[in-house]
Amino acid sequence: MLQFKLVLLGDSSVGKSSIVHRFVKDTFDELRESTIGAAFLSQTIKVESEDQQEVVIKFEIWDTAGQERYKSLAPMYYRNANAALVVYDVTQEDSLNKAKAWVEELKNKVGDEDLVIFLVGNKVDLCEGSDNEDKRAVAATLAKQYAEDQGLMFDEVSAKTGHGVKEVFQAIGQRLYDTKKEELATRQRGNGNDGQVDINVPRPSTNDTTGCCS
Amino acid sequence: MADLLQWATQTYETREQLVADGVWGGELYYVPGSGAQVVRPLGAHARGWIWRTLLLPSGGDEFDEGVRIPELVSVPIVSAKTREHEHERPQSEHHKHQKLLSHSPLWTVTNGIRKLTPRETTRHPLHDEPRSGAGLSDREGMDLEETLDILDLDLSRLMIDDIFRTPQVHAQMRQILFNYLVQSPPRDSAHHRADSIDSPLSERRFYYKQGFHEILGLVYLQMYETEGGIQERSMQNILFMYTKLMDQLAPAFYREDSLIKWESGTLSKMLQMCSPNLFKIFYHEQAHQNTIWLIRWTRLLFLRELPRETVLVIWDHIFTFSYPLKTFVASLVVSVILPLYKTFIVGMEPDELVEIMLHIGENPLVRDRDPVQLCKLAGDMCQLWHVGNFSGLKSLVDRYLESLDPNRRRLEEKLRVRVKRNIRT
Repeated sequence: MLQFKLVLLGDSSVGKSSIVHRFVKDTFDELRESTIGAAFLSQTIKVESEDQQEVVIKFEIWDTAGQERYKSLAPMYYRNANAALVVYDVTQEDSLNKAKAWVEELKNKVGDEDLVIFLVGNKVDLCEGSDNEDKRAVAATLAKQYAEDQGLMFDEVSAKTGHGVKEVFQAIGQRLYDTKKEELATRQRGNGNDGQVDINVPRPSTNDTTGCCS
Repeated sequence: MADLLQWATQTYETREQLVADGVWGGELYYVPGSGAQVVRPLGAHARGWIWRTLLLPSGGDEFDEGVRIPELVSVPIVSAKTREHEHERPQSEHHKHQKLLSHSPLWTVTNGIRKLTPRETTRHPLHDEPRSGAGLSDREGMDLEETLDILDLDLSRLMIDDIFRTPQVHAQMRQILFNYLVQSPPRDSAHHRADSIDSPLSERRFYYKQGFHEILGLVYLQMYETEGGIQERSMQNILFMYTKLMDQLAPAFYREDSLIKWESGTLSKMLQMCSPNLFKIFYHEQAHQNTIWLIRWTRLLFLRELPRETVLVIWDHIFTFSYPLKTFVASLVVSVILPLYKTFIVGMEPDELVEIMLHIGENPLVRDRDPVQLCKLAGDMCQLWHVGNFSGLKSLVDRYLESLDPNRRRLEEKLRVRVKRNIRT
């Protein structure tokens, strides 16, 4: 089993916790209490290796509080993360700007080019149907273009309906596996390991040497 | 529970008696004749009375001269279109207020659309900041509109009881919270002229943080259940009680620099004195990870970590203000984790430790613990800490752990001998 740390970042009320709960418990609550500090959940998925073997991946998911806007404690959360889900609300234009700020912070402070950053537009259910088209404040094409420019993965989801949520984590798992498989194979050969034991993928640290947690 | 309330009001003639015998002596919590074995739930009526007695001057019945209970100010209405500020109707005009509320962000949130994204900040939010001072969030604060938006968002997501779904309760909570923010002293007025409490509300910065609402929620809920609803005067009482708590809580744990300083200066030292083994586990290489779980533990005063009845008993003890909040909370944290010494293993992954701490309430050793004994242990620890009797503190904890597992010391000694023997060979 491979274990990866994944952190969710984004503005208040964009639906970070709802995405996690949809993925982990397949549930959705219209009202969900504010996250204070951080919450932790885990979930496993299976991805496919090149020789079509199933590989189990366990995500350690760190769900953070959106109101920690100025992020002096943020490095604690994304330190050693293998992947970051940066979430915005498709009905709130400025939430994409906040997401962009998070992307910038991750790129500046996390010293790992392999860090997978997935930009996710949530709440697409609110814009479905001809009556609700005007509720969309962020065009998918705009966010997608930004993601492409920044080398991010991108998709739109609905934590409420479940649309696209599992696929996001599946894609992250596959990307992480593809990125790390060479490194893992080398380590396993070095250890004389047959690949049957748990492996915690070594994680990068942050570049933030001034952080409270350094 | 009316009998219990009647008994309590007749038994404790002064606040001091209530504090010493009722709360710290445990008389309130145990079924009489059970030999301090069977804990009884106090019920909202009794708890409301206890909190009023502990926190309000003269129990809130009549105020001493010179004690100023501030009048509540109305919450300004911020128009999204004009950005002009009007004033809300007085709280007594309830039906009109409900109508107003139906156009408030509470409604828009629940209908799926919100207007909550913060306004432009005066500087880039991601700029590095000096670590020596307060975090940026502490210094910057939020403007009026942004503050009201986030209040509405958080209050609409307050899940501790169904009463918080009703418009009247939402409006009252909002007004109390807003008044708290208005009257709170500026944190860093040297940096911001707009922090002055004499400035117009539209120009001021406010220092709300998520968690304020939940703390207020539990206070409000007890009063609501005690009084069967909240009137104007009760709102003033609640604000007074809340302010008394937040005067210690907010600067200690809601300021990131203070939280970090408390952790390194008090909590970690106390843990080291009490349990060197647990200290080694919690404070090895990546000790910074502790801040992650401590944020929620401290800011909400265990509200999301422990069963509600346990939290209420803890808050009873906090409200006696027998010890400084920072020290008592540190003692409580240590007291909560002590019985779990077998759960934590040397060399465990820091993330694994944080995971355990963020799900601590699921552990039966924590969930089923006698809250009165927990507070008593924490109180005794505080006492010894304050007089600097660290050997006494260690002895207290050792005795406590032995009471949990009489074989523990024998096993530890056996292990020590075996390790020594192995080292020699």
